[in-house]
Amino acid sequence: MNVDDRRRGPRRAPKPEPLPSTGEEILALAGRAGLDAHSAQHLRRLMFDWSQRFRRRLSTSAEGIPDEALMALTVSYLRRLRKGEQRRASGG
Amino acid sequence: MARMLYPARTDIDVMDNSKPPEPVVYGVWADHSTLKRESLGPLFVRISIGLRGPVDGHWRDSYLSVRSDLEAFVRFTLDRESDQISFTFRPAEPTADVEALIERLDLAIELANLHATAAAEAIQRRKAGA
Repeated sequence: MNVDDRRRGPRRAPKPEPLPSTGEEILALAGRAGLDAHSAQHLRRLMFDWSQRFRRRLSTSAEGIPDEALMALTVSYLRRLRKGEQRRASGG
Repeated sequence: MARMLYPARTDIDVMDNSKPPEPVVYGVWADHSTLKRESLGPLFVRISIGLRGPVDGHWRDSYLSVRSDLEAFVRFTLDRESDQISFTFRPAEPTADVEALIERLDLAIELANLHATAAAEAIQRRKAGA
């Protein structure tokens, strides 16, 4: 630990990005289905970034974000994750 | 193209102890090209979609577990004989709502893949530790 780290004190975990309630629900479901913490954090970040862009573009509130869009984002993320695991499993 | 790993019971239960077991990754998907609409009288329509990929007993159990985890998934019924998932809706429901249901079904299936893969890993870990 260097001097700067000592001065700052113990590091706090970064505050999770707030998501619409559907996003939180999807993350909870994925966690119960076995999604690891690192991937869950990555998915949260993706949903947060997408939601921010959507809200800026359409000047809408968090409630205006369509549930299906967050679901589609999650499906796409889980498929990419799975294909990466399949490649690793097959030694590719 | 990635090799599809079919986690049949032989992969999990009958392992050669001389080499580490291959990780099992479930990759089941709903084949939308098999989508069938069927009228159930004036009030309801049923949509059935076939599943493709390594559907086995472990995956089916995982699907049922995921399905019971969210009320919105309960309407997606898995037919264990034909490996099809079906759901009903009212003919008056807008197309966008039906498309949202199919999106939700895809999510349930991906969550079942995740669940089944985690369960298979747990089995392999138990066997490796035994």
